[in-house]
Amino acid sequence: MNGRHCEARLLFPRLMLLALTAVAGVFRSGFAEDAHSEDAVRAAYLYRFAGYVAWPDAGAADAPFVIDVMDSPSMARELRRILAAHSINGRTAQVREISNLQNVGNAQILYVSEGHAQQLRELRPQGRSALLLVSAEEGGLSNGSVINFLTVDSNIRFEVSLAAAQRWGLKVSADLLGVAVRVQGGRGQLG
Amino acid sequence: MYACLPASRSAAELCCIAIVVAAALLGPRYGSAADSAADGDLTAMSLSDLAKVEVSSVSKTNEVLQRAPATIYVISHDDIVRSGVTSVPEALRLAPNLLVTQTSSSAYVISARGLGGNPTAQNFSNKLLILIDGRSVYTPLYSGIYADTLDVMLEDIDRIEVISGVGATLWGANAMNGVINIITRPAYLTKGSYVDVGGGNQQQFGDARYGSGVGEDGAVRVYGFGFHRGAMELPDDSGAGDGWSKGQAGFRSDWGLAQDTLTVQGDFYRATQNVPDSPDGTLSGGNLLGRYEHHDSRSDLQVQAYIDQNEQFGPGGTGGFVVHTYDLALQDAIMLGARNRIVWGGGERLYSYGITNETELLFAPDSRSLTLANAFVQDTIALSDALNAALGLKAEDDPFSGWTPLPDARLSWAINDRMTTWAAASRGIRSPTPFDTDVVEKVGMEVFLRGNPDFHPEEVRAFEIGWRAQPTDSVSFSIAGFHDHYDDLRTVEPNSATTFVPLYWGNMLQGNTFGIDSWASWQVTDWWRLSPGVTWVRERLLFKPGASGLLGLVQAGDDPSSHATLTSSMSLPGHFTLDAVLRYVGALPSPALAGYTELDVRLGWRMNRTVEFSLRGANLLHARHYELPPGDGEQITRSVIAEARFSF
Repeated sequence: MNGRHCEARLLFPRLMLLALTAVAGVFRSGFAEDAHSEDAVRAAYLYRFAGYVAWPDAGAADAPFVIDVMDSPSMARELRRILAAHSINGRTAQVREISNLQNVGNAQILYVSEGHAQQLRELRPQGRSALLLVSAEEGGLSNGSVINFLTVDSNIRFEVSLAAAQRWGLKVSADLLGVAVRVQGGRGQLG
Repeated sequence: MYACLPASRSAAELCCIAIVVAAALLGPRYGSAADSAADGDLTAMSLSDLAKVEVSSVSKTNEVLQRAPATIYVISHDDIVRSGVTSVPEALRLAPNLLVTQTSSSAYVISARGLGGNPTAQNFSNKLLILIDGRSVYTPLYSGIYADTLDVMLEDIDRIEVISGVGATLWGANAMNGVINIITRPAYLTKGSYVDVGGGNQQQFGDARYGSGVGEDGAVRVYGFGFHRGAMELPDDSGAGDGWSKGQAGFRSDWGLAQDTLTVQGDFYRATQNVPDSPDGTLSGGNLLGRYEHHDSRSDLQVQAYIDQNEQFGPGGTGGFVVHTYDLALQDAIMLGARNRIVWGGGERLYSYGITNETELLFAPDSRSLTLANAFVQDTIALSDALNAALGLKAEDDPFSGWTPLPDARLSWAINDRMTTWAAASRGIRSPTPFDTDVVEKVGMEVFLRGNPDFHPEEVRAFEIGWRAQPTDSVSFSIAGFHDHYDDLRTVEPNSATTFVPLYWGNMLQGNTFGIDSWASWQVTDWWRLSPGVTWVRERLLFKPGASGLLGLVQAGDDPSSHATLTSSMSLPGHFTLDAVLRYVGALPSPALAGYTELDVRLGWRMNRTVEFSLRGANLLHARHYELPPGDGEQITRSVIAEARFSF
């Protein structure tokens, strides 16, 4: 190998090392100034969704608004943090953690964490109060979920199934559909 | 009228343009959504502001994959974008369970779990299935992969699933040692415009995509890209003259009705390949795919059809081929009671090809129409909340050896929410191809080697056990041990005891491979992730009684006994990202090549939501290095690329 190659060979790693050191040194303090956890953002969405969805059987005004969370302690934690300071539709709200669908009570929202959407197929509207089913995995809508969270790049987005909403007797506002990345069943079906 | 000085006018214009551009770029500051709410209070934000909040990309094991009873590594969209790779083969290097080596400017060898072929023995890597959005892209002519046909708009890839081990039962033909499943994003996730341009000492490229909603139920995107990749180097460090250029355009549209979705997509490409002292070679083709899905509470039905054309010709149109593929497949998944999920289906593929023979390498016949049919059923049984069994059987009818059964049995046990173990036993084959049955190689006028019409499928009986766990929120790992028993691997045999030539292909090699696929992910801090991966393979092959032993055992694969990667991903303040991949590939036995370590580093800066700049260096540790022995591969050179990406 000739001298020119040797120099080039040494120069590049040195430059990279220098760059790495500089970057690491300057930014040793860390990052993530305005980044939130995925569940924190999803929890804020869930809290917000209630204002854009109409349940047919609103329940007594003094009855709490219930969100069942299946198999996600971090989601339940984030929701509790929000609901400690905020009510939903003028009602106090509470979070219940459940580990299987048999335990779904008279909740208004059921959130099933990633990996569990398939179980939503077992839930039928018959004999139940209207339930907003929310999932967080690819194919969530295919499993019967009404709203499904997606992580697109570094943002949390969601898609909506109007067919599932109708099945559960829920009315979803156009404002919510406007933010969805996809509305299965067409925005035109909106009442 | 005063004459304007052209020079001063252009300077003033430039100044104005610069100010406008700067204002436009600096205007929509990243993170403004979060800033608008006091103390980043998410509950005070509107839905559309929440959609803009940046989430920390904390490592986590995909829950669905966490329970999968197979060795699956997923390369995410984020991994691809952050690494700055510019081609699919380079992206595949991010999967620790694949070995990807570059042989020339446009050619790569891709293998999993050993037996990656040995070009010196004319045994090319041929035991993988690659799918792009459900379309099979391994070549039916010899079961290998033409890396220069794999291009996809990288920005639109959702993920690449890499399954090592037999995947034939559910995935399709040729999934003998692994499956690579490239999945692009649906059109409704790629709305808006995207442009990137980049260049450096080794390549120049530009990509553009535009996506939009169509009506109430649909979305469509169109894209186009072009690139030139420069030549690699010969042993004397001079240019190998193998640079190449490609242009590709395509579209994808997704339509969602109440319970049905329809996807229609297509791609068209043309490339020219430099050949030293000769006219360019050409590569061109296109494909069109339609997929209909119906989901209801009882079933998930999918029907898919595609057509694909691929043609490649050497300098001046000499020596080449045209392959047309027509494929129809149906799959349905139903619940049978509460515990059985049955997936069943079938498909038929028609290959029609014509080969332009060269004087010393020809196929007889030079054209054929071949059909490949299959039917399969798999039952996944929930034995208990934690224990799942999956029993599957595929029957595959290949044109040369007829129907063959491909059974697969898997058992998985979710020990708890954070830990799963699995065990699997399966059978896979590599069907005979025209290269096995029809090839005729000549030296001068004399036939030197002839294909074997009675060539048997190469067979593997594969056994694996695996363990996947996430012991803490910041650490996860996967380790799988495998034992593959191979039979009827291809060999070269003499014509008879008295006449040596023409040689012919035999099935006289068998043996075992043992190994480990392992990787881990450690979220060191919330801004730094380290991901090591190691694959280790031992091959114990032997010739069957009566075999000639020509070319030795190493003809099945000039494979390193280990390869490893260490990936570091840092998210730094000011929207900087720093990503590095250190990779090690062990020594190759014969032809011999010393092991090597290489490093790719990318520094990215996201100026705002619209603009990202980056600088990437590839193969930084050596000015040039071989990844295959001289003769089989060229010297791969160090490269640096500057890139700008615009999303708006």
